[in-house]
This record gives sequence, C-alpha cells and structure tokens, in this order.
Amino acid sequence: MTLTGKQPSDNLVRHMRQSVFHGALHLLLDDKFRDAWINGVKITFADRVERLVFPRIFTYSADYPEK
Amino acid sequence: MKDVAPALQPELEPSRSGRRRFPNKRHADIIPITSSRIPQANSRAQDLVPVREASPTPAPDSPRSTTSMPGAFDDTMDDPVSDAFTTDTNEFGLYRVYPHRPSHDPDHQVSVGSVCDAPGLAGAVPVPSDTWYAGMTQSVLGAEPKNPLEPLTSESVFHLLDWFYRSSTLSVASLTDLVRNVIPKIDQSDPAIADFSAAREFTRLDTPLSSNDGWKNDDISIPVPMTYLKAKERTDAHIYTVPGARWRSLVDTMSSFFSTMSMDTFHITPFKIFRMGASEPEPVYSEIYNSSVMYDEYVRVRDEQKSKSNLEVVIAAIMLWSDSTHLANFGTASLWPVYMYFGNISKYIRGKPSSFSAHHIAYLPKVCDLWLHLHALFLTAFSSTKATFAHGT
Repeated sequence: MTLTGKQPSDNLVRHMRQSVFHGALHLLLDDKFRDAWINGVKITFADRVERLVFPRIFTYSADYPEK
Repeated sequence: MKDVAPALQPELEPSRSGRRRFPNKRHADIIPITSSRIPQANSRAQDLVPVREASPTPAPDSPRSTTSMPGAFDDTMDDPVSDAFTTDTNEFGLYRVYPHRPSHDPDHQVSVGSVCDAPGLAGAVPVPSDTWYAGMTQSVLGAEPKNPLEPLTSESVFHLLDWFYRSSTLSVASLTDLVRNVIPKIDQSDPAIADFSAAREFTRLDTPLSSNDGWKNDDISIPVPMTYLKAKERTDAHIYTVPGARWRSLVDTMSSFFSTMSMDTFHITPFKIFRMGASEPEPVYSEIYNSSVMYDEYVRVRDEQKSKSNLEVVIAAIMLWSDSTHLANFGTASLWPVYMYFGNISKYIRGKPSSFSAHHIAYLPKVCDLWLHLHALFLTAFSSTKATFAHGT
C-alpha cells in the first residue's frame, strides 16, 4: 500500500469481497444442485432404504470479510 | 419419568450383597430432545421400530409391515389432513403432529450420553473414530477407495509417519516401539522406501484437499465497477479474475454423507410440536425439523412427487455457514471457509465438535490487496467521484 500512499476506498473493497462471495455461491449452486433441487437425488441410506432427497437451503449465515 | 427411566438410567455396580443398584432418580438429567419425543405410553408410537441397518425387510405378510413403512408410501394416504399423525402428550404437555405416520423416529435412540460431550463424563458415547474425516474427504466414503491411506502412497510410509507422530519426543520406549512394531512392517521392496524422504511425505500430508476427494479448483470472475465510463459502456467490459477458489459439489457431499451416516440421529420426517395450553394448543419450535417451513415444504414436495415416484421423500435441510478465520495471532494467515450442516440432525448433536457435523464445502480466495491498490490508482487517474464506488452503483 505504498505506491501512492492512497488506499482503495472501503466501499470498493467491500463491493469486491461481496462479489467474490457471490461468485463462489454461483460455483456451489451449480447445475447438478439445481437439478437435485427440482427432481431430487436418489440416495440409499445407511438402513439400505432408497429415498428421494431434495436439498433445501434453510439457513445461510455468512460474514464475509469487509476489509 | 417412569416411562423413560429404563432407557436413561444405567445400572450401577451391584452392592456387596448382590442387590441391584440404580442411581438416584433425583439426579437423572432430562434430555432436551427426548423431552418432546413420541411418548412411550402411546401404543401406536411403540410400533415405530426404527429400521436398523442389519435388520431384514419384514416379509409382506408379517404384522409389522402394515405399521412400519420402510421407504415407500401407502397409497391410501391421499388427503394430507387425514394423514396427519398425532402423538399423545408427554410429561411436559407436548405432542407432535407428523404429516403422516413416520417411518423412522431417531429420538428413540437418544440418551444422555449422545448429547453430552465431555471426555470425563461417564456414559458419553465415544465418537466412531473411523468417520471423523468424512467432513473433509469423499474418497474414503466411496464404495471402493483407490487408496485408503490417501494422501500417503504406501503402507510402509504410513507406519513410519504414524510412529513419528505418536512419539512427540523420541524416547527409549519409542525406540523400542520403532524396532519392534514399525520396522517389521516396512516393506523393503516398496519404491517409496527406496528413496524415502520425510520432508516429501509431510508435504503430501499438508495438501489434503485433493481432487480425489471431489475438490475442484476454479477461478471466480467478477465484474469491476469502472466508474470512469458511462453506465451504458461498462456492461461487462472489465472482469477481474480471482484465482484459487476451492470447492466441491454440494450434491456429491450430501450423497456420500447420507449414504453412510447413522440413522440414529437423522430426522427424515419433519413434524410440528404443540403444547397443550389452557385454551388452545400452542406451537413450539426448537429445531429446523419441527419448523413450519420444513413441514410445509415436505408436504408440498411429497404431494408433488406422489404421482411420479413411490420413494419416500426426504428434505435435506442445508445450513450454510461462512466466516473468515484467522489462523494465527500474528501475521495475515487466514482462511475463508464455507461449511455445510444438515438441519435434519438435532442442534444438540450438531453442536458437539466431536460429532463432526460440519462439511467443508469451499475455501474462498481473497481479493488481492495489491490489485485493489492498482485499481484505486487507476481510478483516481480518471475519476474523482468517490461516491460512485459505493456498492450498487
């Protein structure tokens, strides 16, 4: 941070960090996940019963670093 | 308390005269989960025998097959209202309403030991030691792992490193251990031993997020606000690529976890809890699997799937969590992990560190400080309106 002595503005940093976070969510919520959301995934549980599992996001508690 | 006492109260050592002894009932803890479970007195609830791993499926003509529903739904259940299965009230005046007769009630299995987590407590249920790393890797959960010692390459190397880590300071005893227990297990013909390098093997251990475990490495491209251009011109002109996001598929992680985790703690049918009030029943919420949101979503998905599939529907209650984590008191070493938990497991179990309920889903990159600085420098050459940096412009 010494090239000009000026820091990037806090707003810009915050915006970039937030964009990275949402970019990462975009990676995680991929086509496979969207397909599972709509059509479910067949999973054989440990009791050897096959069930149709629908993922749903219930909580999302995130604190991305602002600075 | 009389109903639940046999399950909760372990027997003490018999007295000298051989008389059976039980701990004082005044000291018996009330288990938070079971305080609202299906009462034992309910004759219908007693039929809720959880399907155990080893138990064979009941034959079609056995009496149990009419009451327990392993997997498939009964076709007679068309009206969601008449499906609703209400339990009797328990000692606290609480009762549950299920959307239908549940096939599985994990709270039957809960004991004081499974919700407490202190090594000194008698009766604490030890964590199965072979599953703790399930949150990190996938290959070990697969049907046929290529190499069970991943990331190590051979068994000989494993024995050497295992010995090294077990002996924090090398001692006479550890030397004996080396000669007696480790050296005989070393395969001299192993190529990894011929040119053995401890440093190389430790490096291997330090890079655990391998692609064999389903981890992927991707760049994240984000649009950058170039405020010196007019709004129309800066559509997608400037994309900054942040390298090094590590992540793995939510669906794969969920599948491998669900297929191996114990059913003892897993709620597959959501329900509602009510308290018998003076005037009308009062709803009680304590977990995701007894929330209205999960109940309603379950009923909605189940009704939607009724015509398409005869498999039992399960809602996987995903809970995402993320926070930047500093790794050291000094310096800037930090990680930015994203974890996934499942709300189908009670918060009392999820909250135990030793239950390893967190699944690592992603490690996010940070926006490079140097880049931000250069960008700011660039911007100041063209623009002076600081307000345009603000998020959302």
